[in-house]
Amino acid sequence: MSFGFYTGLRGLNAARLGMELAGNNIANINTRGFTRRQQIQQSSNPITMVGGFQIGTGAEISTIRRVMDGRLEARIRTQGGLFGRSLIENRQMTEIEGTFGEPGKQGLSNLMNEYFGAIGKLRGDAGNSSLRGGLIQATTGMTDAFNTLASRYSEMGESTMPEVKAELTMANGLIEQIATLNAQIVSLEANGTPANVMRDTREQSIKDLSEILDTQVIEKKNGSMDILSAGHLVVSGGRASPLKAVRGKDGLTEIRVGNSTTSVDVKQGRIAALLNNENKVLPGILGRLDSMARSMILETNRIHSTGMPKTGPFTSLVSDVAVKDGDGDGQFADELLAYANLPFEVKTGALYVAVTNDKTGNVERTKIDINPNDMTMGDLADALSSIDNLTAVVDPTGRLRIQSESGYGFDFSNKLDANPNSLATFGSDSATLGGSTSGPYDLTSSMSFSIAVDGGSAVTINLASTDFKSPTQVEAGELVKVLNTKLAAASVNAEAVQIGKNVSFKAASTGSNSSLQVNDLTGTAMATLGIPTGTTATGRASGLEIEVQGSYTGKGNGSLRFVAESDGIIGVTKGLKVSVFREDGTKLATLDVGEGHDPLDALEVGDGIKVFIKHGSISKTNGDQFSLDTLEDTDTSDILVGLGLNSYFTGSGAADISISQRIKDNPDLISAGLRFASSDNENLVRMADLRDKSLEFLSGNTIESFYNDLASDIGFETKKSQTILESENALLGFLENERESISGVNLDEEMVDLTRQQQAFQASARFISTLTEMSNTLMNLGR
Amino acid sequence: MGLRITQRMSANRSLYNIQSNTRRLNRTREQLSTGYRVNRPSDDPTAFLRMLPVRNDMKELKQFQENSLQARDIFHTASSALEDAVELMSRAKEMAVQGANGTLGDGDRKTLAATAGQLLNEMLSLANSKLGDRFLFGGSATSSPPFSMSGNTVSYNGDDSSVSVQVAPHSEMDITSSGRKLFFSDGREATTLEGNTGAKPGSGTDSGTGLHDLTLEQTGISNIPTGLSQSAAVSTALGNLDWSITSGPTDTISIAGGPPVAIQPGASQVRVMVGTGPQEIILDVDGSYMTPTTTTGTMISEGRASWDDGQSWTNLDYSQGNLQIKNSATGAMLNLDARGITQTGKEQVSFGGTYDAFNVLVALRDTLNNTDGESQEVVSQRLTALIGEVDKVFEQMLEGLRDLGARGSQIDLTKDRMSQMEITMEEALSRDRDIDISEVILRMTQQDTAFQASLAVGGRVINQSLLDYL
Repeated sequence: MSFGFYTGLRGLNAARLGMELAGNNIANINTRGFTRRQQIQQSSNPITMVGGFQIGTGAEISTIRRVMDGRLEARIRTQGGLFGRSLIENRQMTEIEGTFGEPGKQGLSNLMNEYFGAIGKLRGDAGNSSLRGGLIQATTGMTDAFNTLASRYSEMGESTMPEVKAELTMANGLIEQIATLNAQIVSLEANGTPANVMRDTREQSIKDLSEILDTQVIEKKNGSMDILSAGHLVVSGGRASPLKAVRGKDGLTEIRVGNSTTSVDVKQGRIAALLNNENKVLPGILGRLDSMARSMILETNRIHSTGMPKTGPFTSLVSDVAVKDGDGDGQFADELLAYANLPFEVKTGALYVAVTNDKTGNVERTKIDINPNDMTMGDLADALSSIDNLTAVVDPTGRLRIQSESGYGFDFSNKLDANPNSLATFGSDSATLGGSTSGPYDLTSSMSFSIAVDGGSAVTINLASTDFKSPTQVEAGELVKVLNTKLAAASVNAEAVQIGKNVSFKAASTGSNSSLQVNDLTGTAMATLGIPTGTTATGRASGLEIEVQGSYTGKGNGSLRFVAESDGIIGVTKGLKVSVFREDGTKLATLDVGEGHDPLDALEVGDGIKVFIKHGSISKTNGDQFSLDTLEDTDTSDILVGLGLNSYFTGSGAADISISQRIKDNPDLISAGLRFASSDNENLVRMADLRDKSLEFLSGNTIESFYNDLASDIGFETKKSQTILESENALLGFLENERESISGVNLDEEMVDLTRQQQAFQASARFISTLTEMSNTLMNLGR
Repeated sequence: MGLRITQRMSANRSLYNIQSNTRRLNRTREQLSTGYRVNRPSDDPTAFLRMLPVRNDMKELKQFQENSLQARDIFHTASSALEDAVELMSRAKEMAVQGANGTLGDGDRKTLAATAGQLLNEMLSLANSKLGDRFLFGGSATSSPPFSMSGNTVSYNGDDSSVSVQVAPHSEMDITSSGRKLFFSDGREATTLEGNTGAKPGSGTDSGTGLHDLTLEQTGISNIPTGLSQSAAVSTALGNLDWSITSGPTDTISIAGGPPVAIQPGASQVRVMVGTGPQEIILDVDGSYMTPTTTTGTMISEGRASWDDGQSWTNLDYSQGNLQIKNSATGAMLNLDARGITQTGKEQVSFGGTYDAFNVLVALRDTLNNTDGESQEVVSQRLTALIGEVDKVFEQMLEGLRDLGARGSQIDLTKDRMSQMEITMEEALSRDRDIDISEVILRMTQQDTAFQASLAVGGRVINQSLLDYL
């Protein structure tokens, strides 16, 4: 019967343990990572009674179990990583979106709009000073917005390192903890005791770690858990390998394990989002902003540098950009343009410089060929200095300084020469003979010709093939130089002048006594040039005036040649005509200048050009002709943009785009026009047209549409990150609910358990007391 | 969800619901307070992408409307200046009519002349009209006065270029007016000469405008018969003159078939009427005069011509069918047939089809003042001719007014079209950007109710457990 006491005792013990378990479960209802405990109770071994049957000896608690689903825990870990990543991504996209400030007044979209609007306003009244001020203000507003965005995004990029470091400190703490727990769990469970509390804590640490970075768990038989982060072992049994953040070669943040030199490619968790932001998202946005700003600077400066300020042609100009002393010899003049560290690439092309005489309005235009791989800054300055009335130097700061002599001004505009007959080879008071054939000429064989001026005796001029660089291809310019040297040496009072690609002769004398005759002696030099031989050209009492108005609207760079088609008096001779040829020999127009033409009326040439052919007479017999330069792009090399000569913007990207200080200081320097006329707005028209221009550099977008795409892409990304965050959060919530459903504590359940155990305890106690009564009864029998 | 529901699950669920409700309510409140549905690109990226270009276009449209207003102001000011000019010309016409009336005395004409002088100044100031600091009639040269007067000549310093502003997408409006076209006419016709000098218009195309005086003067005589010489007195005859001397007790000389005049040796001068006159040649008779051996010949009375009030002179070449005479003040050219010139004097040159508003007023003033000292009859004739000129000016200015009016009404149409377009765009923008207030308020009320409910439910769920009943 005594074993009956033990049965009762076991009952008491089991019930008490059950009650304590329920109490513990209730107490831990709010503990993070707590897994509900459940006692596993079984009958204790039976006793074989007399008679051979077995009787149970009560119940015993075999073990205390953590109620959990291992696969669910793994899924929660994965989801934690996804959630951590989307949380940071959303935070960052929201910040990026907020910085853009769209669609507000301070957004770049509105500020660009204001800028183009200010150009539009100034267009209506280009001379107006307050509107010029308005444009400068609008420009500054826009460039400031570019600068602010660029600096905010680089700051955000720079804050990645400290944020990653903070996350890693937390991760390393968890890694240490997991390793320590591993060791404790292994040693405890080796004795057969389930290390429930430690497992709970470890589970929670792993979950926390998975929100920071990739966490893959390998469970060992001995109860320890190894942790792999993106393929790198960070916890191996009781050993932890902490992570650290370093700056990689490209300045970006990299994660490394222990002393390893290979970086961990983190794909999950908050760190993944931080790294992705630093090396993909932010550089992407900055790159697109930079493209925009660069296009804005390049395209606007291309237009502006070839315009004309309100103050007219420049008397001095300093480049905004200083070249870098690449070879470190303290000299700037020897830097090749291609390697001079200019913000924009200089291409092979040509620059046309116009020098204007303030008094007469005469324009001398010079073409400078630019080859950035062959031309140094010094060469460029020399080329500019070789133009009459112009000097250029490379100053000690590496800037190009151009200056004109007093009474002259220079510019890079394509304005038309108002007086293209300044060489006086068309209806001139001097005797002239013009060549009808355009160069280059083939002057290989030795030739000679005679020239007689003012009725004097003929002088022989010899031409040899050795006079020319390439005798089969002699350009008009080179020929004129050679001819003038020879004419001067022979003391002939006449000169050769270049008319576009043609050549004319002109006597130095004027009036009716001025005369000129040429004849070929050996070879056919004059015939090759198309210069009339054997006829005597005479001068006139007064020369004919030509005036040009308008702006060239045609395509390409070249010149027009105006040629007399017959002999006669302007406005008098019936059927008198002047033909206008393009450089390629095609005819642009035939102008009627005979009877019926008012010599003070403009003649429409086409391509935006109007010409006045005033009183006088012209001669086809003498080959009267003059040429007019027609330029579409006066700087095909981008040298003006590269050096920042007469630029509107300075800088090279979003971070440093700014309005040129020259213009800020003096709004009159906004090159609104192409001519020297206060309300000429033709350059503003080109600047405004930039708004609708598809730019190749922006993959066919306009600047604004490129920006609109960028801003709405950010909108889409932010929206996406929000949606992802919400769904990841919902999924994590669902999984945690699942876990809660399995491992969580239900008070009602525990209360029921508690009541049940209490009743079992009371019953077991009653059993013992009944046994006691029984044994008392037996004891009393013996008395 | 598994079988078991724990207290924590209920609490979490409540919290999640309350948070969702708060988020939604917050967004609705933001929409209501800003009035915008899209407060940041991510609120509705698609709508945002549609909104930006529309917003930019609207800004541009506002600019176009401003430009239109500016253009309209310019046209209005220019129109009213031109109207004043037309009014002024009609006063000039009245004065010409009044002056041509033969009964008017010299004094009265002088008073009228003074008024004509004032009209000239008024016309000049009208032609230099400004809006703000912008001159209206100088083409694209708007910052300096387009017309300036030196002496009796008003010249145009503006240009014929135009400046356009954008008034609608891809539509530009010229806001400039070239004064040359308004105050000088260019419908050139044949030039006519009024006078007795025998000069005729040449074959070339002239470039002058309006009315001018051409002065022919004698400068000397060559090929004079022996014994006679050029006199200090100026002759009135010009041209190649055939002469013949008939010897007799007293020699006589006849020029171009005119009446013979006796040559008295020792007498200082001989005045010979050329042909039928009235022009004459005055020659000195030398003291040693004797009948020359050659008794017939051709003498040349040389002369010069000017039509710029004597500022520059061109020598007459009587063989020239087309002699070009330049006006040094304007650079214009007059083509003259010099072959028929017979005498000195003035010709009134009228460049047909052209006029010059200032020149007409100068001519009116000077004719009324009778600066040339002409007879009453000639003055009346000239004034009558001037009435025709004034009418031409009138026509041209009305043409200018019509053009400005047409541009003005086109601007008004464009402006209306732009306002219409703005409304359409505003609607499009509003559809994407703005909230429907009643809908949002309704939504907010619903969300508020849901929020309150979630709070209440949460409170009750969390409170209850078996404990309450044990």
